[in-house]
Amino acid sequence: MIQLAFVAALSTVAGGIVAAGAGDGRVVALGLVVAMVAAPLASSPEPTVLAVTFRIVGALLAAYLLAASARAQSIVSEGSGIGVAAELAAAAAAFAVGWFVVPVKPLAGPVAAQAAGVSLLALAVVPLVGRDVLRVGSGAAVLALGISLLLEAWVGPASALQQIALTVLLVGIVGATSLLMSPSLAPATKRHPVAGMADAAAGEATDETGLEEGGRRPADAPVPLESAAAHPGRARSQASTSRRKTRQAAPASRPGQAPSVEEEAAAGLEPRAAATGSPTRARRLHPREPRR
Amino acid sequence: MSLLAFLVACGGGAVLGLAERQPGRIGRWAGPICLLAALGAALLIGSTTRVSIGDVDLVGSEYAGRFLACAAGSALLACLVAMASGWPDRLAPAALVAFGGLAVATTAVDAGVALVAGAASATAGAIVIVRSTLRADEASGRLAEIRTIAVVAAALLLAAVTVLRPAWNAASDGPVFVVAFLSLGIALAVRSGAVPFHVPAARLGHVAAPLAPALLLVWIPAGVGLLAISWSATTFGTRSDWLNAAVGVVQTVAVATLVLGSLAALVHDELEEVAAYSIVADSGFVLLALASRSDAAAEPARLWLLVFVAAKTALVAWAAATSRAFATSHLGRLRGWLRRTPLLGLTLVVIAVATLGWPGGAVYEARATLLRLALPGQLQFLFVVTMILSIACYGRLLGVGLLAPTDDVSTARSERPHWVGGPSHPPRTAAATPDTSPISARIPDAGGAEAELVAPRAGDVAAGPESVPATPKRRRSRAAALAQPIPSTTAAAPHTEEPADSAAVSASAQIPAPDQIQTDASPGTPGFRRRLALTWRANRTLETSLVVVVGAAFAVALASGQLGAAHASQFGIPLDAAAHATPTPVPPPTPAFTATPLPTLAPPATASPSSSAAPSGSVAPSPSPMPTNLPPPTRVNGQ
Repeated sequence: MIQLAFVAALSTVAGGIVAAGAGDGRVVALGLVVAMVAAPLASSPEPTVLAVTFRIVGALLAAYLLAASARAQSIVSEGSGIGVAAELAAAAAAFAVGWFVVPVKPLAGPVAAQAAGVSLLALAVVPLVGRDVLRVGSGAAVLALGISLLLEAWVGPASALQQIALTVLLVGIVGATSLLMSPSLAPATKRHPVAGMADAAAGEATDETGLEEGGRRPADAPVPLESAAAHPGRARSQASTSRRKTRQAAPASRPGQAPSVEEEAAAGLEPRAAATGSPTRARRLHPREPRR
Repeated sequence: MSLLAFLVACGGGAVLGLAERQPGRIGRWAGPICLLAALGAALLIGSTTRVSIGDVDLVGSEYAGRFLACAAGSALLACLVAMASGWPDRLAPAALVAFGGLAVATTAVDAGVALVAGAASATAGAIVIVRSTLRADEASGRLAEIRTIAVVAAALLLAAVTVLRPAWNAASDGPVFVVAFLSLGIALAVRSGAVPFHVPAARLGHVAAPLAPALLLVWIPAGVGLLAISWSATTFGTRSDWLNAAVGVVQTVAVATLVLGSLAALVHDELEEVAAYSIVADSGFVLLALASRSDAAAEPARLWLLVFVAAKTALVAWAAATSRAFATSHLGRLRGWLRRTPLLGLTLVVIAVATLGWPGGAVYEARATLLRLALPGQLQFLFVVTMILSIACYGRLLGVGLLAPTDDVSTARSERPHWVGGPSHPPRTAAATPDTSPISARIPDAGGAEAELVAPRAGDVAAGPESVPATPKRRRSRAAALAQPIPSTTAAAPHTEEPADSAAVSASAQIPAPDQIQTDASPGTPGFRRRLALTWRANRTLETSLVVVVGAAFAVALASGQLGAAHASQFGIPLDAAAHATPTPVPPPTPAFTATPLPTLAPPATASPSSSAAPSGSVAPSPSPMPTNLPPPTRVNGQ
């Protein structure tokens, strides 16, 4: 008979793989909610209904925070740094190690929880060393989940208050990620002076990125280079609208004359090589592709 | 009940403050009001406070109450400074979130709950890392903060795993305790910005909200430090080689933090950086407390944490108030600041006294004791070195304030009280009191929109101190604009229907003196309440300075052991009792713990030898829990 702890452990690892490997913020949120809901069920004996309910509510709240922030900003990260296949292999290997190696004897919890915890620890390593806030945050959440599973496997089931504290910690990590990955969540900073800025000057201060009231960027404002590099998804979504407008507004090139770089960009063409005839391609504005 | 009230105040204030997308009236006032309620509740927390949640008790103690009250009071003062400075940011909700977590952490008797709650409180720092710009350095600030959160959470959870003592399938527990010790040390060092991890702390002035260093570098690290030193003398009291090596690493980090942090505070020119490095340097004493592994270090460490919270919050508030008063935070442009704001100068002196103490004073002895217990005899001279460097840092700030004022300082408003439009105070002549602060005025144009006029005050413009300063608000009510006794608006009431262009022309004309304004606008002379409101606005610098003075006075009272600080520091938090009840890794057969089974004899059903039948198997109170209102026990490891 398949035990609930084993199924929950596998579900937790599957959610962790999705959270650590996905590029879209909403998919990351989905993976996290699966992992966070399944993790408490991997302990034995199962926690109380109240504790499980609290963990589920917390998981839904965390996923909502992340999904809402990702949806509003169209945030897409680079995805898995080593590829999904490598993530799967690493997770499976770590699961096997956690299943067969028992550093604590006797185990206070199920061995499936220990295996899932080790697997999540292995999955969290790669996102944590990245330079993307979304990936680092999801890696931190996966890491916290993994250590909590090890805690339950080695020490025993968590108490109700510890379950609540764990839920708050996970919600805090995911909420912090959603705050930090969103560039426009500081509506007050435009209206209030920065330290060292005069009142009147601060009142006039529109930051150099040209954000509107509420931190939103004007619809026709160009996305800065740093922003495009950090958030290629938002840059793509904005470029899709601005290209159409540019195409309608820009004068067409005369027959026989090569289109300008702006017209090419408006038409979605690949930029030309340099005028010197060098075969080198124009500098890419999006971040480096992940290694496959 | 008081602990529950504290948690409710923290939770309610955080929700109210964070739920409002645009900081409005509710969001602006909910934070300080809830901080005030939390302060009142924290003052009532004592050794008889107890809240049961599930099978875990939250037990109050005198020190936990004092610590939470000190943190809430400091946060309240910081929020008042923020409001007076025009920065009603998210500091109050973030502080409330952090204090809620710290309240659970400092009152829980279960080590697992305490460390997880401490990790949860550390996530509140993300709330104040908010800037709407998208520059690369600010993006790196976000990345640094999420990495800090990840490291602190992982380290504290790892420490919980190892401190809770599962029945390891190994010959000895030595490597496990090395991991636990290093985890606590890393969590403390990373969150407090100790020297290898100091770069994000130094950049907080650029990437975080104003006054955010108080939360990120003072309140949260103090709570984490309070948790970390609970096990210093007991769990990590063994003298194995690996653990000694780990302690050496922490000692090295602490010494580097003390010396290099003080040096960095001495050579930097931005006030935010000076304050941040000063905080980082003083946080080295908490690392020393962790590295001392002695019961004798517990009491001075607790007292130091109280003073650290109050004094360093006052320093952050002082830096913010000074930057706000002179519209710059660069020391090169702040020459002569002491002449214009003597109260802030007095505050800086008081903060220095509270931080460093005086020979025979409580905080002086606490710092000396921590350094003596944590470092070998050859390094005891570092106490004098750190004192000299800190005095030099504060003296440099004061010395810059005594130089000839720069233009920025000369044109800023002083702390001298101003009374706007009062007939009882005859207006002074322009020659007697030349005020060179810029004048701003708002004139509604024909379309109803408001145009702002900023007229640089020339030297020959006659304007007395009764003029209203420039305010940070871009929008204000039309009634307030009409009431403002600024020449081009109040004095030229018929001009209010002019379009903005003509108003600009009128603003460029000569600005009459305020006494002339009062004469011209005699039919519309504002009433007493309005004058009071205008006077309130005109004395923002003085009000901010007074709030900072109160914070510094609070700190120096704690530094002298008053307000119950010295008495409360003798008692620990409930976690101390749980840590002392847990046997050491190499337990000597001391009579006090003969009833506690040795680790090797632990029953297989429960992982922790000292744990009760609680399902968590964690460090629950021992069968004979040590009362938290008693002096800390002697060391149980015989060291």
